Amino acid sequence: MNLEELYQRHGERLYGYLLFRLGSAEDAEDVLQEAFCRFARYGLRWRLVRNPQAFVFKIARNEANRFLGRKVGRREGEAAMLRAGGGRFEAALAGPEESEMAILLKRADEIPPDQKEALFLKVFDGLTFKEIGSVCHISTNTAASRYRLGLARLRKAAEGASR
Amino acid sequence: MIDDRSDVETKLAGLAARPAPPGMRDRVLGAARAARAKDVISPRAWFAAAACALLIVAALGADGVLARRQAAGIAALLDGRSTEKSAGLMDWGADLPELAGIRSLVMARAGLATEAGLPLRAYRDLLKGVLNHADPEILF
Repeated sequence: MNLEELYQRHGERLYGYLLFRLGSAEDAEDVLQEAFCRFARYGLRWRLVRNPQAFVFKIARNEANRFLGRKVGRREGEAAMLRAGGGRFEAALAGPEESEMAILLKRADEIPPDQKEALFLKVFDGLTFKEIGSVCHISTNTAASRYRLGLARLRKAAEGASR
Repeated sequence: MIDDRSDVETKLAGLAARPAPPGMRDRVLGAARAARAKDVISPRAWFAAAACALLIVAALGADGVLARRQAAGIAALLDGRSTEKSAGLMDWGADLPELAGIRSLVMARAGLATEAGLPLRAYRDLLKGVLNHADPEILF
């Protein structure tokens, strides 16, 4: 696998996702580097990968969990992250100029972490439910249900904000 | 105002992602290239690995062949047939004085079986457990 091509295709989006997951630009870059080092070492394994997009996001997610595990000194990095509130839209997205959108973004960060992640991967990274399921180690139906629930909560919040 | 329900998703998708820090691409790809270079196996290492693999396969194959030959020889010996293989086996333990007792016992029973025209398997069954439970003083 050509690393330049891989970065061209997924690098920026992976960075955005890691920024969302970790909330810090430095941490996101560190983890992105670790993920790309891993990609570089997967010489023959790339031939077995059916869906490169889902694969790179899955590896990046695993690396982020490992990083969090090391950082907080616990084995369960993902659990630690969930306790801390999960990813943050505000960290990954540039602050909107409209105040209404800023409120929406703030409300979006209040929905449950697993739903937020499904929403982020679907809306900003364009992953299918099947791919989201593969990345998050859940079934396709669960991924779809998390996305719909998250969207419903966001709509409710948006309606509240518009009143 | 956000009135249309589908508008929420569209508006959210319209938000711009934070830009990557300058030089991140080079840093990430540089680290990945360094990791790849570090992990590359040299031709000499490949050769050594292939040679070791061949040796292991040869050893496993030879072990199987030897085991089959030995089993065939033992089976021939116990059936009372003298074959080229079993003839060699008949000499077992001849050069080890500490096995003389067991050897003479086995050879005597084998001889009896041959004389009586009985299948040696019956005697082999009699021998079962002798070596484990019998008093060593009887054997030696």
